[in-house]
Amino acid sequence: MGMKGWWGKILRIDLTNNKVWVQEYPEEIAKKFIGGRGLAAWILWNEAKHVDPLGPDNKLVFASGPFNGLPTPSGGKMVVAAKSPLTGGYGDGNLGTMATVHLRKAGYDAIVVEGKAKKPVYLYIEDDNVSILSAEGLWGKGTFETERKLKEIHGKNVGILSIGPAGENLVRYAVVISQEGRAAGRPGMGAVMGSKNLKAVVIKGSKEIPVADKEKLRELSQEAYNAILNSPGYPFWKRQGTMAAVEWTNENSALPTRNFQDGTFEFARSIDGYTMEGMKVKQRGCPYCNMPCGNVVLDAEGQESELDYENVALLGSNLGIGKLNEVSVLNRIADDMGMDTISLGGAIAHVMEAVERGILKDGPTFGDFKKARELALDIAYRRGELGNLAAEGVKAMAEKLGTHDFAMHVKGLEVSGYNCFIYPAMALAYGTSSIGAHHKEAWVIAWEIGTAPIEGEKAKKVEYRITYDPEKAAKVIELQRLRGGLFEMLTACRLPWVEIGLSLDYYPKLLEAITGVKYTWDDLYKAADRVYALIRAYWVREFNGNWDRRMDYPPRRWFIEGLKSGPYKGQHLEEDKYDALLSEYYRLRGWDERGIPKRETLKELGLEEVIPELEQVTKLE
Amino acid sequence: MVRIRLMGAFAHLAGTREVEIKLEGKKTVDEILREVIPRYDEFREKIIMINGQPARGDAEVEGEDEIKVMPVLSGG
Repeated sequence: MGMKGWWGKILRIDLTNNKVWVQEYPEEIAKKFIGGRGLAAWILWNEAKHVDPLGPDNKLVFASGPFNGLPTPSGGKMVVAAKSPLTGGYGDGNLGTMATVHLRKAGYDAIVVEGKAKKPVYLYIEDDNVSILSAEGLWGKGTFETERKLKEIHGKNVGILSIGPAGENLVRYAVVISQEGRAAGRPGMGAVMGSKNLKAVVIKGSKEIPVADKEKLRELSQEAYNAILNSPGYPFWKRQGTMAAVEWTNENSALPTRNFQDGTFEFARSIDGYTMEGMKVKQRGCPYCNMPCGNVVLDAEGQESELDYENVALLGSNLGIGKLNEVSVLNRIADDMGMDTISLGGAIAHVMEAVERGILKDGPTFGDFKKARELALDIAYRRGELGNLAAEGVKAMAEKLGTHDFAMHVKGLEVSGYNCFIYPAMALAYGTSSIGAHHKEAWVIAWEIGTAPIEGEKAKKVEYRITYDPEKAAKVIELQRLRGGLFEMLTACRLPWVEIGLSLDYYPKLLEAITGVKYTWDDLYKAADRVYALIRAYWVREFNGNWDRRMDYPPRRWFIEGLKSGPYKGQHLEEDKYDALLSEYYRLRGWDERGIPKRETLKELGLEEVIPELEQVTKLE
Repeated sequence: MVRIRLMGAFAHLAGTREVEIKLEGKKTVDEILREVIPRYDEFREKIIMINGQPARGDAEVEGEDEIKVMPVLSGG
């Protein structure tokens, strides 16, 4: 095709008819959507219309971007996307995996799987040779064993993505796993894969990816890698990775505790980064990353478990479990069974609270590790009434039990590791994240604390006050453009920038070295805004226009209750003030008061083609 | 004695999570932390609390104040 950086090729698989073919997509689309989430959103908009998320017509997209397969700082990532069986809207996730390196080296930018195989299968892709092979010997196995077995068959120099029993049993928050702990697809991408009888994807690539300026790429990457190693934060990052956040959130009344009832946990110290260090046996990470964040410990059952902050917050403090070796067991079960640790923690916590309030009769209460462990497995196998109910997610549980007051989700996706009673900007980030409640896109909480109004020249003894300044909406959008936009399209990990302070300037420069295309920051922001608007349009279409600003609201708990302890005891969010902040968000994005992009906005973003279809379900302003 | 609680990378670089110093006169937070934490100025962002409340680096500290400094993390 002559393009540099992009192949312009998507590998298409139809499992119903056993067909494999290569789709070429236009250069214009590559430049407009860049890759990863951008490409995935474009594909799903065009092809996954009003489909049953667990039916054969849903499309499962594995999308890489121009950064992938090449030596770029922490550029070993891949987006997995589909219409979500958990939320009914756009769903995706992102994981670090050798599969992205091999996919790009095999000559493709993405894979799209449609249909449903008659019996369990897996894909074996080796450059131009693609086989659909029987997975009957693998079906039922955990992801760890599945990967081991596939490496025995195909050798170690491959990239593997697989699902576990949770995906096979269509648990609504089942994910796709790689390398025993890298995971993607919180809103049930693993269930979509399971619904197609697709157990795994194995890829081996050997081609050279066409690059515009190889020397420049090498030079920039080397510089970036060195900057990371020399940064003042690097040595501590090596020790604790994201686990340092346990101490941090606990200190700031933001650690989810007992289904988000509180923001501090009396046993935080026993599940924090320092405790983890005492248990660490190895470090694992993503391809091309020189600051790996996978801290592996031995759990209470002597097995390896790869920990990060979210796992520990949602399966530890959120469940009232204060022993890291026990939390690690739950984490390992989630990874092996192929379930999202955040949603699993949210679902179990919801059950625990319902049991303690007498709404559910049997089940674990807060702190009960043994029963939580049983429930986790019951969920993975949809065993028993409770296991089956919890496998549906918190929103479905609340609808059945009438427990909306403590249902911690947005749009059906369970809230991740930040309790926002006193953080309106972070609550807005959760409300407006494109897949439902997720912190990945706009983690503003530190900024929010750091910029708390400080009066006077050399102020001290100023109280932290909960404020709803309009600039908070602008900050959320600024971060969404980078974290939910740019990084999700390249596709690269945001942590070198976010945790180590790597300069953002590297990214457009690397992109130009790879593709030969010069993107200004305005171009990149516009591309991100385009993807956000497209994803929002997708939700609105799939909901048949039944859309309302309430979809962008954070959980009720943060308005109707207050923190139970700490210096901000009793404090909480205020609905009318949140509402005003949300209106400011819409205003800045050029969306109407319902949260739907205006016609003019869609045109400005180059999304004219979206307008006629959207107007079939709703009136555009 | 001024008590300083250090978190994250700051604790790592200082080699400790808590420091007590006796202040002669007044100093700003930045001045004090610079002495305790190597490479302090290389951190563009930080969260500083004095006696539990947010403060800026140029805030003055005295006598029995407690300073807490934490990095601006961005979460997993």
